[in-house]
Formats: sequence, structure tokens, C-alpha cells
Amino acid sequence: MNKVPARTLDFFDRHVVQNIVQKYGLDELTAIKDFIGSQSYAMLQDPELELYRLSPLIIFDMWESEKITGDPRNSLYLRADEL
Amino acid sequence: MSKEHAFFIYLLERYAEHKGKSTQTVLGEWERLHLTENIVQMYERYHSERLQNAFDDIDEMITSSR
Repeated sequence: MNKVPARTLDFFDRHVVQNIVQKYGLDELTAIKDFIGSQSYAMLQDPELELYRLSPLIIFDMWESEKITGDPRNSLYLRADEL
Repeated sequence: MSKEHAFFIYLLERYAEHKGKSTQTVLGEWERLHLTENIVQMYERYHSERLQNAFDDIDEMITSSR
């Protein structure tokens, strides 16, 4: 299966990093490294999960859930989807 | 977001795509070789040239850092 295009990942990176900086006060480069290194990003990059169809705010919520609980799948958006 | 960091994301994602590697793998290598900050600081040059020049320059930095 094809990879998620760079331009799509670029779009999500900018939005999620901006949210991390605004809410948690990290400097931009630290936020970039943190997000790119996260499980949430790995899931975004997996074309089979099709997370690129969702809002960047949901990916940000996944990142927050990962930070708090250790697993991005605990995001309310993803859990609600299972119901 | 600063123009330097917005461009860094653009460059990182396209470099990874160009190399056929995951972005996490590429950033991990840049971090391990202590290149990330240098690449960010190259904004003025990289953003005014064709992207392939930046890719070639990064490849050279990687080779000389190993």
C-alpha cells in the first residue's frame, strides 16, 4: 500500500506541533521532535489506519492521550469510534 | 510557527519521502549525529535553493559525521 504523502504529513505536523506549543509551552523544535517520535505519529504515518482522514485536532488528542496514559488509542475520539 | 521550523518540517518530510524512509528513522539519524539544529539553522540557504541541493548537503553532513 502507498505511504501517506509527505505533503499530508507536513500539514498534520504543523497543526499538531502548533497545538503542543500553545497548550504546553514547549519550544517549537522540542515539540517537533516529541511529536515525530511519538506512537501517535507512527499511527498517522500508517496508511492502513487512514488517520490522515481525521482532523489534526484528533491527532493532537491522541498525542495528549499518549502522554497521559501511554497509549494514543485511549483518545476519546478513537474509543468513541469503537462503540 | 516560525518560518525556520515550518520549513524544517517541510524539509524533513520530503527528505524522508525522497529516501523512502520513515520520518521517524530520518529524524532519529539526524539526532544521533547531532545534525538537527544545524539543519534548522541552514534555513536561509536551503529555502532559497532547489530542494535537491539541501538533500545533497544533508547527505554530505551525514557522511562526514559518521
